[in-house]
Amino acid sequence: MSGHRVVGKPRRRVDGRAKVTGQTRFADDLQFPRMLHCKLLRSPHPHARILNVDTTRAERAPGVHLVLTGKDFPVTFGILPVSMDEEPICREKVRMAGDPVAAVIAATEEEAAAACELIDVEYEPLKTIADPLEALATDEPRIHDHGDHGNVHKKIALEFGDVDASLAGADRVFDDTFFYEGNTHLALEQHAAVALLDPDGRLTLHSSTQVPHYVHRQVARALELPAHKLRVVAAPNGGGFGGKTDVFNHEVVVAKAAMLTGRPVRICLTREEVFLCHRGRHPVLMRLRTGVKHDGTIVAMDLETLLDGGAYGSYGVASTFYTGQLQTVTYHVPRYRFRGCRTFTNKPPCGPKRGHGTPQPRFGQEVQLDKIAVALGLDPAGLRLQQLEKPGTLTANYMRLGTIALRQCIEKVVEGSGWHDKWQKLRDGRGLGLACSSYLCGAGLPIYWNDLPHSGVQLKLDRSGLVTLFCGATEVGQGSDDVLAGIVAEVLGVAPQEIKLLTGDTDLTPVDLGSYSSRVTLMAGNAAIQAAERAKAIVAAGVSAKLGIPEDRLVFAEGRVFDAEDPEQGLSFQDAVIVAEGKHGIIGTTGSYRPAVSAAKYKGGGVGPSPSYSYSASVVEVEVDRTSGWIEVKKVWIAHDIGIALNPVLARGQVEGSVYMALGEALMEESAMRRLPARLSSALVHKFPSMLEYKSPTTMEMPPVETYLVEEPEPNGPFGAKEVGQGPLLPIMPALANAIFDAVGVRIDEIPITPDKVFKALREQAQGRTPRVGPASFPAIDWGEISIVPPPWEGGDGRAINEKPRKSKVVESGVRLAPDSPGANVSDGVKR
Amino acid sequence: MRDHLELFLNGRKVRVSGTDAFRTAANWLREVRGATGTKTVCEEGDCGACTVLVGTPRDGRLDYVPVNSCIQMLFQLDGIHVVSVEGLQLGSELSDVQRSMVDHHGAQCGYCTPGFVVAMTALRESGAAVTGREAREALTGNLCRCTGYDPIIEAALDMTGGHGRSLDELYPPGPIAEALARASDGVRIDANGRTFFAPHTLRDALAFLAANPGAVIVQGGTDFGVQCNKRGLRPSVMMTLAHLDGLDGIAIENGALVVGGRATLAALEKFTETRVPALHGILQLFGSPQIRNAGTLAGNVANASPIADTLPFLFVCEAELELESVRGKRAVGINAFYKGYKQLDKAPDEMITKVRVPLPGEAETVRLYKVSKRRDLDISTFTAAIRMTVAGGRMSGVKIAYGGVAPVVLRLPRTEALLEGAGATEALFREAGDVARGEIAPISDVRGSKEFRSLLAANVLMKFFHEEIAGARVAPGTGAR
Repeated sequence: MSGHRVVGKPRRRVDGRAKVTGQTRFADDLQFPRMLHCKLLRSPHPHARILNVDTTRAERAPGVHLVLTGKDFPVTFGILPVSMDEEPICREKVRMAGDPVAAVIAATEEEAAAACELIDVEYEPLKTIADPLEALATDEPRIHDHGDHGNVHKKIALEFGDVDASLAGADRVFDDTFFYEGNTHLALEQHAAVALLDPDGRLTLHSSTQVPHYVHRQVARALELPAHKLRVVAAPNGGGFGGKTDVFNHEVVVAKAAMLTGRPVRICLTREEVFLCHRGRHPVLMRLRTGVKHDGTIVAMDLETLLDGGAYGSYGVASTFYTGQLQTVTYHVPRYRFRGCRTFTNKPPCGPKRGHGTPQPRFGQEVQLDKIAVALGLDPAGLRLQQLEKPGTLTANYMRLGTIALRQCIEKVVEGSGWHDKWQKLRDGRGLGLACSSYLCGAGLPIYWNDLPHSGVQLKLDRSGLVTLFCGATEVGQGSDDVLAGIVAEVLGVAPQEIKLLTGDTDLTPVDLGSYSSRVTLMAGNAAIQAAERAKAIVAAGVSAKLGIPEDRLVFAEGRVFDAEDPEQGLSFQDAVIVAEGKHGIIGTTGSYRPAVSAAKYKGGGVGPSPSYSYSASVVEVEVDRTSGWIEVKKVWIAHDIGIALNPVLARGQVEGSVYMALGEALMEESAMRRLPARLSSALVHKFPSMLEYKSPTTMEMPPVETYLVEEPEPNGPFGAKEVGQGPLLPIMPALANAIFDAVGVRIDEIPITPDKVFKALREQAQGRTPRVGPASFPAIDWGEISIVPPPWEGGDGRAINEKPRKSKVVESGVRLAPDSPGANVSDGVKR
Repeated sequence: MRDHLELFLNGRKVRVSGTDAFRTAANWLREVRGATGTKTVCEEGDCGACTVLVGTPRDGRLDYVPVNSCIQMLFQLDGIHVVSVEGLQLGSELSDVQRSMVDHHGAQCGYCTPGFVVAMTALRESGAAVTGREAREALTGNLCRCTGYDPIIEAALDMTGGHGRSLDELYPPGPIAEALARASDGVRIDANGRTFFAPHTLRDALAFLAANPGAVIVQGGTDFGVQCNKRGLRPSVMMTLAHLDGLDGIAIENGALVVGGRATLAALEKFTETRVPALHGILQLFGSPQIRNAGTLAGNVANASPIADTLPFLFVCEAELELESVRGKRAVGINAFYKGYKQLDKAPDEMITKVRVPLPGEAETVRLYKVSKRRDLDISTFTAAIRMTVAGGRMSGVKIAYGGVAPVVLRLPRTEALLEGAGATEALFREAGDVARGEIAPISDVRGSKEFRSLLAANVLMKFFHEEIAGARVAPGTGAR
């Protein structure tokens, strides 16, 4: 980007120094005088009524200050307004092994843990539901008394055009089922929180959270506190990946404990407890039917998904929508039907992990496209290129697309990998696969409906020359601090390292909805530009008055403000601020960002819209050992449509980190559960609740990655930037599966793709049977009435033609739940 | 006899007494010293976020190696210079490793970063220029979830040539080594019903064991620490061998590899590189560099895990253990040492002082196998050692041992007998696989099903046949390795 001095230039990230010296203060690093420690007693039963909790012995144990039970927490909470189904401590029943039934606050962690052992809990075990098929077949007992019916949390049925007619008229219809196993974030940092009363009696909660604003709302709700009496400070997160975007019971518990004891109360979860918090990738069973013409052109797509939600709602309603809503933004899909169902099961709750709900159907779509290409004798790259969606399109399901540089992305990886010389041309055992994807640059709607800004930035400039930036965004490793500093530095012509950042503090910083859905760069970035431009105008006015240079001739660069026509004439940035402060008074500016209103007016249309979409294409090369099924990824080529890269080294780090995480889940990671024997309560527990047993790739498993950042500025993005933290994860899993097919001719239609599955498929192949491992079928689900929304090109206006008019309803004082909010179509069935 | 620990932390002498000595080193650093740069993440020696350098005085110098502080008890670090991430820089001046990590964006969230920086410092201190491969191997004990490792590896390749100081410049070794040498007498700490003893002589050690039969010897502690963190193990009496001279030797004597009772796996790895390549190969896959720097061969033997990586080799070499007590010395063959799951032919007052491994002759073939879900940094699902001489197509001296297929590591006498003296054919090895499956009793657990282990028990023999005997007959390009 010509003309920019900071943006687009590789540079050290602003928080690098603190991190390499170990000086970054994470939540578990905080220590306060007189601090107490909290431990939760967790249920060994996956589903049981709590008959009695006797804490008498624990209360008398050494070091114990306080014991809390469900009775102390009458109010539930949850991340989505439609599923406020979580309890700080369970009151009447537990829904998963690991649900908290009591909390002990003691002088030391050891004493708290010891006292937990002295609490006597009587349970009445209930029938447990292990998976979605059991959930569909079991109406009673219900895990929750909210949701669509029985143990079905949420059903979605949307149809954009007459899909059956199009499929009937298609030259070929491809019908595949896929399964994507759940997996977890495995952020290095365990969740930790410390709550303390300020001297004035107000409560402060420090937490490792990606969403301080949502934690603020929900903890205030659960404790029935006026929001202004609570301050939530997000510590920098030691990795999040979506695992810290919920509000957690332990946060509410330590907040309450600090209020009751008057002392700081800390909790740091053990690694095992982090596995229980989970909120990881939903296991999803999918059936995808796609009708195509002989030349591979898609005429219609019909997708059904079945999600294993685990024990709580979490983001589940949104997750379910995400398993369908972004299937239309990559290739032109004239007609589309999407039906999704999320079930409750007695397992740790699933939620958002990097890519939130979209990697699973993307895997199905991109593997199926590969099958289509092979069946029709087409080049998989060409098949995609011939039907890319066009920039600015309103899709069949009313997603408004921005710029699309996917063509360049595909061309980059095709050329870089030598695709045309290698695909179907390498020796047996070696193969290439290609896949593409797209992701949001921020969710178009907040999780609770409001018409307020999604992001705010404040700037303070003072006579010291220091620029202080205040923003509610949270640094989770993705580089949000660096993005904000870089943007303001560009506008004001100072060095990014010279900007002081104060982030993620609900008392001191303006609201930002949080570090999720790849929203910070675009949304907080735009707010930062607005605030910086306003500050620049104030400083320019001051300098102009002082030096008699017209404002539009002033350049802000290299720590100076000077005349473009005579660079000698000017002031240092500090002197410029002093002059401006004298003229203007104290300098403080604000910037806000709120996305444009979506065109999707149908129920559920609130999930999927975004100010912009990023695109990625990848080629993966593998070696497969026929004798053992062993898979070795030799190289990955990935191109990402980033709009423009604000800091190219940082952006590359996000792309390669995504590739890494994708390979982990593609090849080895799984949140597999197992049922303990009856003598041990029959609980459904994680098979691998430790870092050692839940394998993630080491330095030795990581192949070389060739990264291409494709830059085509997005008008809605700050300086043209799009997201980069999540999108590049998405094409890797299907590209790998397609590469394995190219190498040895077997289809693995499920994730993870492990050597034993490849080995099994190779044996099928050797015996002349279908060389495939994957789910055999998708269950018949009663989808009920489907919402019929004609696509834009069939005269639709974004509404369902068979939808009853809806009344807006009040869910929380003063906040209206609008028809297009993600949660608006499910009543809040939890009574309290 | 001291009643407290004396160690150095980041160049300063520290005295620790009472219950603090029984904390893990990571917990002590964070909770007592407020040095929170060291992160506790997995608490089982897997992720390396808690990595610190331990500098052991040796001839007036300090040898620094990285270890996992989350599974090291502080009492194991008596007489050591511990360097945590806080100790790597002088004032505000970044070390070369830190500078390189910033330049190459080796840190994203920053939680694994201190562990990486410390492990990389050890690599840099070795002074040698490193290749990408060496950097990757040196960092297998550190997990990162953000970067995909490449920026870190790039940083590792660019950490020399700066102006940062080496550890010896930051902490001149002479005075520290001298101060620690003065403190190197025995230590005994009794606190809150728990006892720790670090004897200065073998005689003291044996006397202590006689007086406290069943005292736990915590030398490497790489499994002990995990048991404490995850299973609440709290033994009341513990002893380390850290101050005993002579037990850390490794030598080849009369055709046998002789390994002292507290020699580390890292030292053994180095020693065997040229001398016993088969063993070296399996040691390279043992845990991680941090684990090998702490763990010992005798500890691996005494810990008695049926999936201990070193055991099948010791079994086919018919290693001999030297056990000592106040009652005297005796030798036990390793094949007779295990009586059942974690049941040893070792009296509570005895300790392993030596492991003697008669080495196979040059004409013999010895192959070791480890099957695990992840190549590095993993616990085995199945292990095997196969040893024999093949001459003129006939096999002799056949010895086979499997791990992970029974409560103890097993020799397979019937399979050995089938192969002994016979001609090496594929059909015979197939038959041997069936016999082998009949000699084992695997169970299903999180690392593999019993069926899978049973399949491996047969397939490893086929692998041996194809690679070691019929290797030349396998056409290139079929994917066989």
